[in-house]
Amino acid sequence: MTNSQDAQVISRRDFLARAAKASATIAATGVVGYWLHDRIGPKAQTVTDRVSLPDFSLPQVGPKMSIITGAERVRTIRRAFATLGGIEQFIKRGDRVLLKVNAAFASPPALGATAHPQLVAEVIRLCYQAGADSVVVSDNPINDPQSCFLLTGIAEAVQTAGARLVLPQEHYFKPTTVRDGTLIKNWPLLYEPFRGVNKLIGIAPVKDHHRSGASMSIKNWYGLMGGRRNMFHQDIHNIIKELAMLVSPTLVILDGTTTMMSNGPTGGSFDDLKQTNAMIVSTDQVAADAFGATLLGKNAAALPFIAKAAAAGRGTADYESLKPARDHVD
Amino acid sequence: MNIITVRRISQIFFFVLFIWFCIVSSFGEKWWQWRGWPVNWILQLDPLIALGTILTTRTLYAGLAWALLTVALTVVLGRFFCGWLCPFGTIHQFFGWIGLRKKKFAERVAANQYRPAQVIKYYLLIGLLTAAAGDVFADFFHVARQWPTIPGLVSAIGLAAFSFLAIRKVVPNLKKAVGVLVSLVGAWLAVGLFFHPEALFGVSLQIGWLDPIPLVHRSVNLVLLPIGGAVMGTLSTSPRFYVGAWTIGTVFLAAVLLNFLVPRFYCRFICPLGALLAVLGRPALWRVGKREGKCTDCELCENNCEGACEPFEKLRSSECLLCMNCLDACKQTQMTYRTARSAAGEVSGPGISRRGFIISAVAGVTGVPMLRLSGLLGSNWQPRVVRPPGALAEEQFLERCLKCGQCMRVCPTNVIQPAMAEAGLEGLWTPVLSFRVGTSGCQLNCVACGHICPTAAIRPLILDEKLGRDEFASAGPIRMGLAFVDRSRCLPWAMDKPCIVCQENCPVSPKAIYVREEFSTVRDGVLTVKNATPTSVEVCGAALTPGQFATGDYFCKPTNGGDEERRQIVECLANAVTIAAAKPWRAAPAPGSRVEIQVRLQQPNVDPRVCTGCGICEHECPVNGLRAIRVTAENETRNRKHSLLL
Amino acid sequence: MEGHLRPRGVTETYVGSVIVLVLVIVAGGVFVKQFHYDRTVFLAAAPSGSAGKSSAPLSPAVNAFVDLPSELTPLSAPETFNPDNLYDKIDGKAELYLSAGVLGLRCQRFALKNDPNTWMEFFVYDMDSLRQSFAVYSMQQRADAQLVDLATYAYKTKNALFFCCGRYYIEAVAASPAEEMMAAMLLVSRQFVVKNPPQETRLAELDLFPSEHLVPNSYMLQPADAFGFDQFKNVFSAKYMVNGAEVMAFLAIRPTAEEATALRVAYQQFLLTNGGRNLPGTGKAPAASLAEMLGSVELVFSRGKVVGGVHTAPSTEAAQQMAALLYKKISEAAP
Repeated sequence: MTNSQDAQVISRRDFLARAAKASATIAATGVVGYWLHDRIGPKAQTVTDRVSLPDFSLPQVGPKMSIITGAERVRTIRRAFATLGGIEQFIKRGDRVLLKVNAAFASPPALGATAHPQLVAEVIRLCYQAGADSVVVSDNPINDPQSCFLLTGIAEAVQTAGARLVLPQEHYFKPTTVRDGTLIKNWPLLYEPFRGVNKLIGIAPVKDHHRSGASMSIKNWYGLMGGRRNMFHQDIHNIIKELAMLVSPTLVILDGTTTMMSNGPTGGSFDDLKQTNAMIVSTDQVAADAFGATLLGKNAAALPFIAKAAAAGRGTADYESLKPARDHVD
Repeated sequence: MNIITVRRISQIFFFVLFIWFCIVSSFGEKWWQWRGWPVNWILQLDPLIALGTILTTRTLYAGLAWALLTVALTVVLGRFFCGWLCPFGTIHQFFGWIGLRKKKFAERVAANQYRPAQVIKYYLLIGLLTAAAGDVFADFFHVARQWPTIPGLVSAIGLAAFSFLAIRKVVPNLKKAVGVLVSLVGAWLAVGLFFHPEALFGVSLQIGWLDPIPLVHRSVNLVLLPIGGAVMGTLSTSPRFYVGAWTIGTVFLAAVLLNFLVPRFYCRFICPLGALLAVLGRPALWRVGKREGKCTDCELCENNCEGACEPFEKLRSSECLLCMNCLDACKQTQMTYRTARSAAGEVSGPGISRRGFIISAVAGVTGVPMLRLSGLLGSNWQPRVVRPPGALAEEQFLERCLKCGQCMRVCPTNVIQPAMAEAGLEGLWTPVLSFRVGTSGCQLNCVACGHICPTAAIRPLILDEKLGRDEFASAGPIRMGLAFVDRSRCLPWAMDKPCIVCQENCPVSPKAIYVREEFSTVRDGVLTVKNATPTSVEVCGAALTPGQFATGDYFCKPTNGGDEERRQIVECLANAVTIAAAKPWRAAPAPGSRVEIQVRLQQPNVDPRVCTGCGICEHECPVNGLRAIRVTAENETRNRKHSLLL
Repeated sequence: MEGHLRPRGVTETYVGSVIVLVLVIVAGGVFVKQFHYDRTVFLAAAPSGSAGKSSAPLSPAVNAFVDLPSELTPLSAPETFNPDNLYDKIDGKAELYLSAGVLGLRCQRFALKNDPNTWMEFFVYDMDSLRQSFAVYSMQQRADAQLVDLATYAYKTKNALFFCCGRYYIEAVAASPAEEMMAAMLLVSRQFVVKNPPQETRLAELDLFPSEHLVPNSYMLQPADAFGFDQFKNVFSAKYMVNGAEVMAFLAIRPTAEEATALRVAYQQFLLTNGGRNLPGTGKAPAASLAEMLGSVELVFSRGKVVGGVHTAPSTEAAQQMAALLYKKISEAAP
């Protein structure tokens, strides 16, 4: 009976095929199950992708400061760098630079609430002149990022100068913790623009601030914080101190050309502004802010965050001790 | 021994075991309480739960490894789980049997015919699995950006090979097949490199809706046992209530009643677990089928066929759930369970159409991001969603929660409730705390819910971690939320009535509710003195209710008394009050002068540094309707973004 | 349905039996499993005990805690409390210990090895001195006390053991009355005494009480507010049966005779301001002030640094009689 014999052979072959598939399935699920087995389960929210910012300062250059008076930003910034030995002291060939500008509000440049686009463009140009490989400009504005960079004129300035603008996105933030800090603990930091960067320059205008008294170069780093950062306003001077502990820039450029004397940080009226015509470039952000306070007609002692940052070892409030280079440009 | 008898014993055994596990899932160490009873065992045997959580979390959590046993046995034996173990299936079989009892033979055979709609459960399975596999898809594209790494390279090559084989099946022409592969790889690279497809995919474990084991646990825990307990008075110390349980009961009832339409309606048309087991059971070594021999075409085998797998004709092995009724019915002993396939032939697959596959896969994949547009995981997070202590952050929670209701059953104070609309569609029937429904708040020293959760959607906490003690002291206690005093409703704040019930009941040490003393002149409390002694004041007009101000909370203060302090009233008559003898008036108020009756109010405030959101205060608040102190999810530890404090 | 008798093969029966056997094994496994579980999930753990808060740690001897006899096994972790959070463990009773100057509490639960459902909790209070530990010991003496020879001041009840070991006051409280557990508690307690030998074992003040007519075990030390009088601190008392009536004799020692006199006068005044009525003296020694207060007689005298007296006597005669006995004893001790 070949038919039934055939049928038997087929059936046996089929059985063996199934047996093979079955064993393979069992083996595969066994292996996968063993590999993925987790007895403990999920832990409390731990932070595995914490980052910390590198130190961008140049200790070999030493503490340097330049205070140049004049009405034209492009000229005063050029002179400022000239008095410091040229931007080449800080930016070398092949460097990748990040400019952290103040683009917090969708405010026109004339209102002095944000970094001036002319200044930004000139700094970019100077960086490229020094041989920088790339210049990135970024900030995490309070208002909508797109409109902020647009209305402040910074977006256009960046494009014209040939640098790259990085707008903040959700996945650009990574948690960071300030060592010896109490506030910045696993807090989202705008980290993506820092990738591959080896020089950091902060660019901020001198402004009065309703809560902290002043918003200058240290407070500029607030724009790197993500999350519900307005919570830190509960402890404003300590958060500014911790920002000074968080960020060690190569340079800060504090633009005191038109200082916002009142109703900061947003201002809104030209009456808030005073033509103080000063451009400060400094390796010491505390010293820069201490000088900036004088432009606001305030005593550095009246701004607790300066003393706190100095006490935390982030700089000195005695800017004269840096022997700032002074000059005037018409 | 008749195999049917054994099957019935097995079904009854697992059904009774299941009911017993549900009954004992109550907090306590007596033999009829939780103790060490393995109450999650049937959930752990469920391979759909294991597969779903593997897809969403890349881990196989603890006891879910039991599912490997089910998989191994299914691969060898077929869908024994459906016919011999599943308690939901047992219920359906029972009601199906009732429904068919009085029917004639022809009707029964007709009822047990295969219907093409039986393919729907496979589509449901695909949809649920693709919704759970969002991360896998996202990674698939992510690999495009990272592929220079070794594992990335290996998986990329593996995927390419696999895809090529799949393409070959569809496109026989070799050149065309290669072309298709190349263009697919190109598309994959393009999408991966230039876009951020991770944003497109979401991950959500929604198998709990239809997987029979969580479904039946939920129905028994939240509907049948509370009703049964109320009737029998034994199953819990006090009646259990569950918000929205009627929706769960309706689904259960509908599933059960549909058996009168078609026997085992749920098993045949809806059950995604059955679909998964059918796929796993395809290479089964032993299968039901006809012997070679004389079949008389009597169709007795289809009289009681549970799976509607048509054993009479070409047996649909994917639908056969090994009920063995056909074996028992066949008078010619033609039906058997053997290694060879059915002599009359088998229908190999479940008959999933390509179109159906794609539609369900796309629905599953796109459904989750569409649901996420509500922003419930981001800035639109719902403060009413106060989750049990130890619950993961919402996104991870929804990757694990099966909506099985075990935590709701075990919670000793009945505060864990199934969510209705609060947590969105994804969060339906997931656990949220309601302090009005329960018998108290979340007990300080209880960690039951995390220890009973089969998938660790609620982490099993040790008490030290929950309370923030010892090595967890720097992390602080687990907070579920924060209590907020509603000053517009709180008695001492709004109604001039003393009350410190919330502060008294706050269980943490130091208390999270502290009071500030305030003295407030009561309504119509300014009175004119008629006569006064060192320890009493008689007032003009019979204005007072006897005893009204003698509770110890009321004080008498001369309006123009200078530095004369207010004195506590110890007795109150219709026209006079007596003050405590220990502190008489320094100068008794002169007749004609004014005195004020003041109430001492201790106004509660919440200290957010210490409050854990346990809700005992909300439960005890005497303002019984909308409570004057309510817990919402601000400051919960499971999500740092919701933190209230620095 | 199965109207006919289908011939069943051997295989079918064999397979069926195997399956039923598997089910039996499953049932057995489930039954065994329910005995093994993590008790800490169910134990209503004591609230914050461990050293997280400040305050003086308990003396090293207590940190060594107890030497466990072989019959006992720990049931929970040891807990430590300081005066600030004593409330968390013993709630309202903390008042008593706090007024007696407690420094700390260390406690732990133990169970019988062969019967984990029989357990006891062992409390060690550091009261800083024998005087203070005696105070809390005596103020809580239960009615069905049975003296034990564990220490000078030690008694047991049906399910508990209480004693003073120098500065430590120990309570061993079993969850239920069980012979075996009581024996184990006695053993642990003896070992505790051996390990922490007390510097003082008896209170000299108690020798000032006469021994005739003394109601046994009635010594008490009230650390504060004795008889409602806020100046009465550290008042010793004992009960006596005089002419068939129970009276309480008390004494308090002050650093100087002047202070003792002042205290006597103050107490007299206290009695009068609170509704007492002066009674004439009996003329018998000792010279004392008598007052009738709420239906019973109060008597107070002083001799040297000691203020003594009688509390709630039924009659002037009884009070005077008791006072005489007490006065005699006091005079003998300090002539």
